[in-house]
Amino acid sequence: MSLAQVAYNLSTDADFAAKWDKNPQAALAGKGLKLTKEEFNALVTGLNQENRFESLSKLVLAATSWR
Amino acid sequence: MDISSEFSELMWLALSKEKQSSAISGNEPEMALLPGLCCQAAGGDASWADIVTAAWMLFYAAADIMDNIEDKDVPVSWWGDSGPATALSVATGLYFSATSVLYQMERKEVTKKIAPVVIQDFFNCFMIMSSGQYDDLRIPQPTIEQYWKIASAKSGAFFALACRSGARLVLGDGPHCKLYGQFGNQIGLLLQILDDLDEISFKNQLVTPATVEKLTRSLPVVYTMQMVPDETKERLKVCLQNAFHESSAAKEALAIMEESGAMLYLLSEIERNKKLALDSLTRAEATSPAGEILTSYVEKLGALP
Repeated sequence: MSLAQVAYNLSTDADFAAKWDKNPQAALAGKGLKLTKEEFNALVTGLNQENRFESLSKLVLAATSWR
Repeated sequence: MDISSEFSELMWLALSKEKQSSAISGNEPEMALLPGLCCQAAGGDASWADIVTAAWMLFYAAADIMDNIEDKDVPVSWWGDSGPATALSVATGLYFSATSVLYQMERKEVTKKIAPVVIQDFFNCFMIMSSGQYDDLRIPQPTIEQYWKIASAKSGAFFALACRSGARLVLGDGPHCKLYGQFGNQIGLLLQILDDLDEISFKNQLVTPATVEKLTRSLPVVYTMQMVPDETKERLKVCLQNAFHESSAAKEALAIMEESGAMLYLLSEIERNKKLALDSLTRAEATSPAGEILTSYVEKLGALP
C-alpha cells in the first residue's frame, strides 16, 4: 500500500513531487510514509521508465511485445 | 468400455484452441519450458521434467476452461455452440488426464523417489488456486492488498508450482527448491500484470457485462479505484462501462488512471517483481545456460521498446 500511496502522491501532489526531487527521504517523512529499500529502488526505476514510456496507452502497447 | 473418440477429439481441440483465449496467451512456449529449465538450472537434465511439464500444461488447460466459465468470459470457439456444460466435461477430462500423467512419475527411475512429494504439491497448489478463484468471484472490487493476495493464490501459485517441481527433481526439498518456487511466483505475478495491461487496451470485440466486471479487477483499475476521490471514482466507472464501444470513453478512462499514477505504480511493481525473481535465481545458484535463459525471460518483461 505504501508504494501505491507514494505513486499517487508523486502523480497528484506537485508540492510532494518537488520535495521528492530534492530529497526523497525527507519528502516521505513529511507525509508520514515509509518505503522498503526494494520499494524505493523500484519506484526510482519506475519514475525513469514513466518518462520514457510517456503514456499509459504506450505502456499497454509495449507490454504486448513482452510476451 | 472405451473413451468416446468424439470426447477425445474435443479434449484435443480444447488443448489446441484454449491457448488462443488464454489469459496468458502468447507465453505458451516459454511456459512449457519452465519446469525443464528450472530442472536444468538446478543441475539436472531438462528431460527429467517431461512428465511434470505435460501434467502442468494439461492442468493449465483445464483450469483455464474453468476460469473462463466462472468469469463468464466470451466462450472460446470450440465450445461456443455447445455451451459451458460441454466445456466443463472436457475440463474434467483434462484434469483426470493430467492426474494420470502425473502418476507416471512413479514409473520412471529418475522421478519415482520424489514423485509422492511432487504429486502432493500439485494437489495442494490446486487447492490454493481454487481458494484464490473463490475470492476472485466473491470480491467484485478488490483492494490493492486483496488483488495481490488473489493474484498470488492463482497465477503466482501456479507458476511457482512449475518452477519448484522442475527444480525439486534435482534438489529434493532443500532450501534452493523453495527459491525456484519464489522465482515462479514472481513470474506468475508479472504475467498477471501484463494480462491486466491487456485488459485496458479495450480491444475485446465481443463485450458482455462480465467483460467490464473483469476490467474492474485489473490492477490499473484496482489501484485507481482505491486511490482517487469518490467523484473521480464514479467518473471512471462510467468511462469503463462505455470504453469498449466509445473511444472517447476509453481515452478518458486511461487519462484518469494515468493522472492518478497508475502507470508509475504498475511500472514500479513490474520492476519490484522482476528484482525479486532475479534475486531468487541468484540465491538458488542457477547454473547456465538454463539460468541465463530464465534470467533473459525475466529481463524482457518491462523492457523499454
